[in-house]
Amino acid sequence: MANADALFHVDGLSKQFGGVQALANVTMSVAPGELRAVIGPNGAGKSTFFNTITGLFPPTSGNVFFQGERITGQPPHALARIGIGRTFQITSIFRELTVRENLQVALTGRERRSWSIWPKARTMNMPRVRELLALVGLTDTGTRIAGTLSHGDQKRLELAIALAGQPRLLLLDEPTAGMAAQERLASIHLVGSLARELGLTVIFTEHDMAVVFAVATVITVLHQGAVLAEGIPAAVRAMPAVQQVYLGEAVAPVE
Amino acid sequence: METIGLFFTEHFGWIQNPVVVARQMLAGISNGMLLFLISAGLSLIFGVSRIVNFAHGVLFMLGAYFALTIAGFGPESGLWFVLALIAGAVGLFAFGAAVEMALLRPLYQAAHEFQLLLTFALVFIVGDLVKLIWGREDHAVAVPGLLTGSTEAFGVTFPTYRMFLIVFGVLVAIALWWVLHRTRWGILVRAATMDRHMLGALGTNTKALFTGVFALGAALAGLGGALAAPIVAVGPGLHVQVIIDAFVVVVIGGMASVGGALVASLLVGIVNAFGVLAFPSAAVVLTFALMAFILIVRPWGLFGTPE
Repeated sequence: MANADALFHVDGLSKQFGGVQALANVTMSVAPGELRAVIGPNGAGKSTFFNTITGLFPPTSGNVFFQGERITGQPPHALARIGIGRTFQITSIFRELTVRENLQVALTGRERRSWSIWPKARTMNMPRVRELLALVGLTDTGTRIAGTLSHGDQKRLELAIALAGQPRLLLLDEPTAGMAAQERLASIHLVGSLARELGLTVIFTEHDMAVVFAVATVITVLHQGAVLAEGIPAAVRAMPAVQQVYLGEAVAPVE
Repeated sequence: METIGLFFTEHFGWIQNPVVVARQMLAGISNGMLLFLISAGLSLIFGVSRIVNFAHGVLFMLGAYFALTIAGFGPESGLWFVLALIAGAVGLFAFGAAVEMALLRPLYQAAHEFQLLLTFALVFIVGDLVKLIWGREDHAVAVPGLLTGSTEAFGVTFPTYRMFLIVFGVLVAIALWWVLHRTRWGILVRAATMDRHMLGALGTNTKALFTGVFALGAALAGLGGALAAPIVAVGPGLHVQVIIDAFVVVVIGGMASVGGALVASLLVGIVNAFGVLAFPSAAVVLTFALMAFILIVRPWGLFGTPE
C-alpha cells in the first residue's frame, strides 16, 4: 500500500463498461478525519467511482482498502459491518415505515440479531434511536411516516440510518442532490459538524461547488475517469487544468 | 318494462329472502377468510422476494391432504382435527422452507422467467405427487363433532363450521397484523417489501428473511387448506380455482399488502357467493370483472402503492 496512514485507499482502480473506460487507474488515499470531496464535470466518473468503491459492481482492475484491509468488490452489507456507512443520490429510506422504525431496522441489521423474532418492536433500541434523531436534528418526528417528511428531513433520516451502523467512514453520493440552494449548505454543514463531533472520515461526490468548498478538506478532481488534480481546496481552485475542465463554471465560490 | 321485471325476478329474486341473503353472506365471508389465508402469504412472498408463486395453490392443496391423513386417524374427533390443522400449518412451513432454500434461493439472481418456470413446475410436480400418494379420487374430511350442525344467530341458522372459519380467520388476521407491526421480525419484513436491497445493505440477513417469509406464506396456505378440508372435495384438482382466486385477490388488494389481501378476500368471497345466486353459469366472470374494474381505476390495487 502506498500510504500506511490512510484510513481508505484506492489503488489503480479501473472500470470498463464494454468499450467505455469509465474509470482509468484511479489512486487515492484518504486520511482519518478528512472530508474528501470527489468532483468532476458530468460524465467524469464520479458515480462509477462511488458505485465501485461501495461494492455495487466490481472493478475491472485495481483494489480498495479500508484500514489496511482489502475490501474490493465486497457486498454492501459486509461494508456496513466493518464500519463503512453510505447514502445514495436517490434518497434511500423505508418510506412507509415510521422514522423510528427506519432506525430500528438499521440498528437491527447492525446487531445481527435479525433471527430473534420476538417483540419489543416498540421499545427496541429506543435510547439509541433518540440519540440518532437528536444528532441529525429530527427529534419529535419519531412516529411520523418517513415518506411524509420534507425532502431535507428525509435526507437527514438517511444520514441517521447511515450513522446507525457507527461507521468510521461515511460515503455520500451527491448528498445535496435535489435540494434547494439554502438547504444544500445547511445539509452539508450538518455533515461537517457530525464528522467533527463523531470523528468520522467522509468521502462525498458533489457537483455543487459552493457545497464542496463549504466543508471539503481535500478535493479530488476526476476527468474522463482519471484523477486530474488533488489537493487542498485553495490549491485545487487555482490549478489551470481544473479551471479548464470547468470552463464556463464558477470554480471559485462567490465571496 | 316487463322484460326488466322478468330479468330481475329470474336473477335477483333471492334478494327478497333475508335468510338466503344472510346465509350466502356468511358463506361468502367464510370463503373469503380461507382465501385470505392463501392470498396473504402469496402477497407477502411477492412483496419481499418478488417471486410470483404459482405453486401457492398446491401448497394449499397439500395442507388439505395433510389434514385428510391426520384427521383420518380420528374422524370427527376434535383433538385429531386440531392436530390436522397443526399438520397443515407446520408441515407446509417445513415444506415451504425446504423449497425456498433448495430451489428458489439459487434463482434469485436469475431472470424472472426462471422463477416463474420453477414455481409453475412445482404445480405439476406436487400435483402428480399428490395423485401418487392419495390417488386420483376426491376425498372428504369429516367436520369435527363440536363444529357440526348449525348455530342460530340473528334469527337465521348458520352452519357452525362456517362461523368457526370466520372467527378463526379473524384471529389469524389479528395475529398476522401483530407479528408484522409489533415484532422485530415484522418490521424487517415490512422494510423488505419496500426496499430489500437497502435492507441487505444495512446488514440484515435477507436470505434468512426470504426463507422465513416463504415458509410463513406456505404455512398460512397449508393452514387454509386444512381448514377448508371439511367443506371441499379434497382431490387433485383442488388447487386450480384457489390459485386463480388468490391472484385475483392480490391484484385487487394490492401487492405486498396484508390488509389489502383481507379486504379483497372478503370482497371476492362475497361477490362469488352472490354471483352464484344471480348468474349461476357466469359467476366466475364477476370476480374477473371486479378485478378489471380495480385495474382500471387503481392499477396498484386498493391498498398497494404505485411503483
